[in-house]
Amino acid sequence: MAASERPAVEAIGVTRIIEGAVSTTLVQDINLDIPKGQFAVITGPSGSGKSSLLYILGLLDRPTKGSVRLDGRETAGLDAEALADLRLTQLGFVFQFHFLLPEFSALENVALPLRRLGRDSDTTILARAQSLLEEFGLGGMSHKRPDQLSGGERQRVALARALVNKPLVVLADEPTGNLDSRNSELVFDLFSRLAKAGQTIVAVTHDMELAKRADRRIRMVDGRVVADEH
Amino acid sequence: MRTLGLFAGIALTHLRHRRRQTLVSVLGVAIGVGFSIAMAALMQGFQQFFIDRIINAAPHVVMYDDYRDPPAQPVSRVYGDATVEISGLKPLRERRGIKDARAAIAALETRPGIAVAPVLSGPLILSYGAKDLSISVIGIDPEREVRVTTLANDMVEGSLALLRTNPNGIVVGSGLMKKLGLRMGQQVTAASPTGSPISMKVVGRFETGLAAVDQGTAYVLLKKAQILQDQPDAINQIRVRLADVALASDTAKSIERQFGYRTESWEETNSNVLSIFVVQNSIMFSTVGAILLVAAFGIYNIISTVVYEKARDIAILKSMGFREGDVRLIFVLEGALVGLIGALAGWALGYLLTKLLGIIPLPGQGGMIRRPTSGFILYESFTHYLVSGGFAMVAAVAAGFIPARKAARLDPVEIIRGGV
Ligand SMILES: Nc1ncnc2c1ncn2[C@@H]1O[C@H](COP(=O)(O)OP(=O)(O)OP(=O)(O)O)[C@@H](O)[C@H]1O
Ligand SMILES: [Mg+2]
Repeated sequence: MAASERPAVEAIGVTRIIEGAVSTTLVQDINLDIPKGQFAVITGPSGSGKSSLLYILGLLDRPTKGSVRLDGRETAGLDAEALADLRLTQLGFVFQFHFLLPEFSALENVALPLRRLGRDSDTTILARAQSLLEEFGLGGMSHKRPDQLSGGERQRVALARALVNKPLVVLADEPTGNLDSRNSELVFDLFSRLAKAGQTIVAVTHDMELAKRADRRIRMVDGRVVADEH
Repeated sequence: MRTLGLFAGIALTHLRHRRRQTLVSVLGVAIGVGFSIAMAALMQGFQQFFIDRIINAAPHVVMYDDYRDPPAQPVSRVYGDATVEISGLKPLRERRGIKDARAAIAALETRPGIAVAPVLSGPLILSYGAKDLSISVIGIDPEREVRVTTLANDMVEGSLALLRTNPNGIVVGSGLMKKLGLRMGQQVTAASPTGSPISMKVVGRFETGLAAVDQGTAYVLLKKAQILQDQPDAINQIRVRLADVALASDTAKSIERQFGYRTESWEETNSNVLSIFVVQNSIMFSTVGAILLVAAFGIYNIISTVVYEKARDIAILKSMGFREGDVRLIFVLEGALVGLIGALAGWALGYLLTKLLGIIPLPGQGGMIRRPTSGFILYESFTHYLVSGGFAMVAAVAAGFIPARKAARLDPVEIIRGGV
């Protein structure tokens, strides 16, 4: 298989069970592959396992059974450090509640992953972070701290940060859950635009209208994929 | 290296977030470090001065005219370990003094790096006016004595040479002179428990700085001491000065082995004082240790609080691809930063405190030693700064490490699920 044909991310027989007094099955027997450049959304009722699946695809959580491949590479045997390195270089997260560092400016927040990577000079890093913010209409906000930004602006900063290391896949868990419809549309417009430019995106959403803009809708119920419409 | 700067930057924002608590911890470290520097300067200054005085003023090694184990009496030589107990025995009376002293001195002088002086010391009652004082008189050979002690340098009035021109001359300590109300050139009556009283002329005054010596010692010619003590030709100490004082203990042992007589190094003679120093130092170290321990608890406390408050940030960093080690390092750096700033502030505080101790005038002249300056005698050493600063850093890093490890182990999924 040529590199471009390998799926960006694949779940192979993924099951995640949390052992306890009563064990809970978060997701069960998921087989899924997301090709490169696809904009996929995961929908489904609350508690159906959407977030759980996203954490597993994003290598934040490990499946109890089955495995996840990133760009064709098996991740099951990797240690915590190798998984962290993959998250740094290949993955970008956006969460529902704008997870930004509160003491850092928008620009510094966006620059964080690049700084952790430590490959470029500080000027290069800041220039890239600034250009991303400008691309998302936040050019004038770069020196504001998160508490000085609106919810929609924060979410776009978070998206810029997720993209700054040019990840293979962006994973977004209800990125518009806290936004009004105008800002939600803004975020989904950005997703569509990025996907057209080749960015792979997996987003969880409750909003069926927004879901229509995606290339693909995966529906989950009770930890299983029940519908997969392209 | 570049990422280290990033971690330090994050660590700093966390500390800034907890400004007041951080300040308190920094202060705790600073006080611990500052006081340990000042106390070390004070203690070591006192101890070093004291030891220097002893080493300079007194001979390094003294051979006495007795034995470490009392000699076996004829009766036990005969009966050995018999169970017969004989009481009321009179021990065999031996003539006092070192036997064959002249030969012993000659033998000792063949050793390299050694100066030797014979001495007869004994008790003496000095009477002047209505006052009698019991002191220790030391009969010396002035030319030899100056080679084994700093007596010549300690002379503040008159001279040792005057003993030669005044066979009835006596050189007394400053404190003694003051106690008796004596002045130079005056006559004083000297009597030992065994000899007859002699009238002697004060021809010199010395001052070593050691109060006990200055108040209770006088020097006369060796010959005169032998007459005073009614021990013609006897000497009961051979005083030794070494080119290398570090060899004192070994030399004492080897002399004792060679001649059998009890021979003490200056360390052994002053072992009670030296053991007080050990106690002093232990008190100092435990006090400073306690201060630093409290400071370490303070550091542990802020970093634990920050870890708790910043759990969300930790989850963000980990989801972003920061490794566990990165997160641990960030929080260890926080401890190290508190330690570093505290140590630097402590250095400044220690420096100021030391300077202050050096200038405050002390009341009175009492105590064991007389000081050459008005303030405390201080021993300033960069080692004190390095040791206290290093200790503070180690304590700070250790205090930071425990919560840092906890931070590194936080599960980001749990925190992200927790939301808000
Ligand atoms: N640590 C846990 N222990 C026990 N049960 C858990 C744990 N984490 C999640 N669950 C349960 O697993 C199920 C799936 O959770 P998940 O968060 O993936 O659902 P979701 O589809 O994202 O829901 P929502 O739309 O409300 O975000 C839920 O029923 C949830 O209560
Ligand atoms: Mg969810």
